[in-house]
Amino acid sequence: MSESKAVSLTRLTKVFDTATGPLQVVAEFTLDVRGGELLTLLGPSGSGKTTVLRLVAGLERPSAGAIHIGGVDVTHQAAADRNVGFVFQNYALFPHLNVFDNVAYPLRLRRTLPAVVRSQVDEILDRLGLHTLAGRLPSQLSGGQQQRVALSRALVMQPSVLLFDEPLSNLDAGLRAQVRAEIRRIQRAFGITAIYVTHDQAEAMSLSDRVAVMNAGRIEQVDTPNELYNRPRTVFVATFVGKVNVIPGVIRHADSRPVGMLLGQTFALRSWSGPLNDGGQAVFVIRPERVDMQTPGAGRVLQAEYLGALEEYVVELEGVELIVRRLAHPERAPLAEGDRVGVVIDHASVHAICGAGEAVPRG
Amino acid sequence: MYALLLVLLGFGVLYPVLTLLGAPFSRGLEVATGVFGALLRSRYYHGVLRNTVVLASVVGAITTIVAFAAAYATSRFQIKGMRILENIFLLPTITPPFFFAMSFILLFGRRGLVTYGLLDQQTGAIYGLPGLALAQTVAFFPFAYLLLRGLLLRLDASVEEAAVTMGARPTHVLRDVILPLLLPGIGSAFLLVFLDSLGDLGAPLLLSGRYSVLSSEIYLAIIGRFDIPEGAALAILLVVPAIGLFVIQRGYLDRRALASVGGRAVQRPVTLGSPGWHLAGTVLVWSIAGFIVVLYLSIGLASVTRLWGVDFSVTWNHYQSVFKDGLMILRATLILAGIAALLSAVLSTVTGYLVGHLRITGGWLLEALSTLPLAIPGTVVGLALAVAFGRDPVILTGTAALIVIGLVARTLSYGTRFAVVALRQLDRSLTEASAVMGATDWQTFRGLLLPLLRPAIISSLIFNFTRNVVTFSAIIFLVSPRWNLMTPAIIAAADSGRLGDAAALSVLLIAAVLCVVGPTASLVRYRGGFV
Repeated sequence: MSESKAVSLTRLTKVFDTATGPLQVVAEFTLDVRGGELLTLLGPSGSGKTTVLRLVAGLERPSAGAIHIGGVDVTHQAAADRNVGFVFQNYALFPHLNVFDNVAYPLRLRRTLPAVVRSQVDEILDRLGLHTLAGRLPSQLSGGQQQRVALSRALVMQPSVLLFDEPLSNLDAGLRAQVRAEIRRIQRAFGITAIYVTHDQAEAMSLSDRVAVMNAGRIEQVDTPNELYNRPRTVFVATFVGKVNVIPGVIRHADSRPVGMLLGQTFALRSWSGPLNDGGQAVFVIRPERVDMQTPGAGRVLQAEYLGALEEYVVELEGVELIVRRLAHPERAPLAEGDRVGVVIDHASVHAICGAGEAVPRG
Repeated sequence: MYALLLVLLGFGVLYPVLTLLGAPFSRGLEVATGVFGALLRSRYYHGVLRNTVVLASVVGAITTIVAFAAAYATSRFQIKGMRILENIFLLPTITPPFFFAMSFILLFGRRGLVTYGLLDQQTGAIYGLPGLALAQTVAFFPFAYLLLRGLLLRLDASVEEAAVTMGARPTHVLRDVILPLLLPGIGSAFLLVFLDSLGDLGAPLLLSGRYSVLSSEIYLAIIGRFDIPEGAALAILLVVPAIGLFVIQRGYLDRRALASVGGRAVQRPVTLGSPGWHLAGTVLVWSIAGFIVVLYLSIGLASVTRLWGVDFSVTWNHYQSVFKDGLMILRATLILAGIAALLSAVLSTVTGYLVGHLRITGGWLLEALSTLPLAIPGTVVGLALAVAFGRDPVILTGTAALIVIGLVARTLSYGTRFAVVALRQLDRSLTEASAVMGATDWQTFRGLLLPLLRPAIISSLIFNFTRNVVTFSAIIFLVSPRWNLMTPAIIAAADSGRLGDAAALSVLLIAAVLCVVGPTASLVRYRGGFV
């Protein structure tokens, strides 16, 4: 599988005409998807991620911009000509056709010989563990099975890219993790390029090679899950990919090295994004699990939540509220609201988002 | 309450139907077998039966195909001027069904504007199967269109999109996805139109020529020969298959139609396909709309033309002659239609409450009785009432009450269906909450259910009223010189060659309906009453 650009979106823009006037859903969206990778579009509802997916499939026409698939300009190509696999949120199986005929449909449209159809469909059904269900109608299948039929139907046409539109949202929580792992396994096994849309950050983190976080039709950041979590470029990304403490502060240069000042302490800054100016405003991003507690101290527990494996607290210290998360221990009693504690921040893992113009929310 | 309703329905529906069924036997079993035997052996009636079935099949097929094409176009492609278009498509629903038969005579008849005026052909080709089929097709088109459009919009868009991403063209999507899933709905639309055609009397009276159908034969037997046993026997021949088909349409196809598409109506059309498809769709639906408009214009023109086909000078004479006694008839029509609409709404709401909400045992009997007059062709309903209330113990011949009974009977089913469905969907916990708070059944009904039902009641009131005003076949046997209605008056004028007067009366009628319906609800909102 080549490392080339399997899918390339250039300044893609989509404006819908609505009753209240034009509505820009996707704005100057530029993104390259590498061959064989699974890239997730992550964002809140209304951020335009599904529209981007539908633009790639050709189910919507872009207002401006270009789409290349496998190096070919498909911007003005009909959806039927793009050879793109699409797995819909509700699976969109043909209710009147059985599993075999559902999966055979794209092959038959291509006038494939019946013997070839049979062998290819059988092979796919076999690989996805569906061969015993070939004669069933979609209404006779469980949600997870329907999901796999939809996946088989998309895979059998050997698409140049596989698109997933929130494919797990109709499954119950127990099944979700299982199907999620299955999708990952199959995508790897087939070595296929995939774009996956979800609003669930845990799903995005666990599945993806890379994640593009979207907000209001634009990309905030494209990175590996690890980078996104630890080195977010914007406050939006920081808060969207997990619980976080976002605390405004100041950065100074000491011996030409940046130092952060936080809760009366000065520390060497190791990770930052944006322009680094002496005396500049910044927000510090601290994950709750990078903060520990000690007793006694000058802080006070405002909220205490016991989650079994974890304990989570909101601690007030010098007018700042901090979320703290630590592993529970059977021989240590959880803290209670009103307890006095001190906080210990792991300064080495503090990330700073520098530069003005960033809206800084209250911690 | 239940007992009272049962008595009312028994008196207004069951008694007349049973009387009609018994009518051929009134002079003894031998006479009856003689009548039926003669009918069944008669070459002539074999022809009539064949004509009836052929006409209904042709109309059913053409209407379903055209309505499907139009509904497909308006639900899948972007059509310019949808609002105007929808209103034009709905016009025939507030027009007497024979209206278009008159238009066809004006345009294509012996003195037709097109045939005689443009082509200089004095031809009677319009009389018979082709003209009848065309006129009925236009009249029943909107009902099939609304049914199919509703189903097409309910069809899950992502299933079609899935096919497209797999390489399907619009024709493939149509063949492989839409048609298979809509098959029960298409069958339902076909039967709906088939049954409408069976029961229609107006168009055959004006256009059938020598092409006799059952409804017009019944009319001739009763009005022309005063032969009630024979008329009743013919009616029975019409009723038996009609009820069977009705049960298939309502009980099986309608349910399957919804089940196979599922979901709610989504206004977002799948706008795929090339610009050529959108253009083709636009041309198709606007041609249909244009044709309908031309038919209305021809009536409008005829109403101000001195003598159609001979003297095309403009005159107000028709309106003047119509104003003399036409206004009285119009007033009677509107009053009786209003009273019947109200009565029907009250009865159907109470039935809906008993059947849909309280779910009383034996509720099915109320539902069946209120549906019966719709399952029976309109001509037969009217005949049954005329026969049953034209003899002891209750004689209502010539009264307004008889007309009101006929109108109520025909509309009862729609309102009951709305009310039953609306109340069944209502979460029971709502009324339970009301009961827990100490409300009596009556307080719950008045304070909670009635407000929730108000939209359904209002739309069924409007629906009932328009149906009442434009119906013809159900009341033709019930009117009298003292209590005459607009539709028989129009037919009488047209039948005696006074097409100008008939046109003027029609314009008056449609204007009156628009005046009443227009302020209450725009046509597009009123459409909700059908689906």
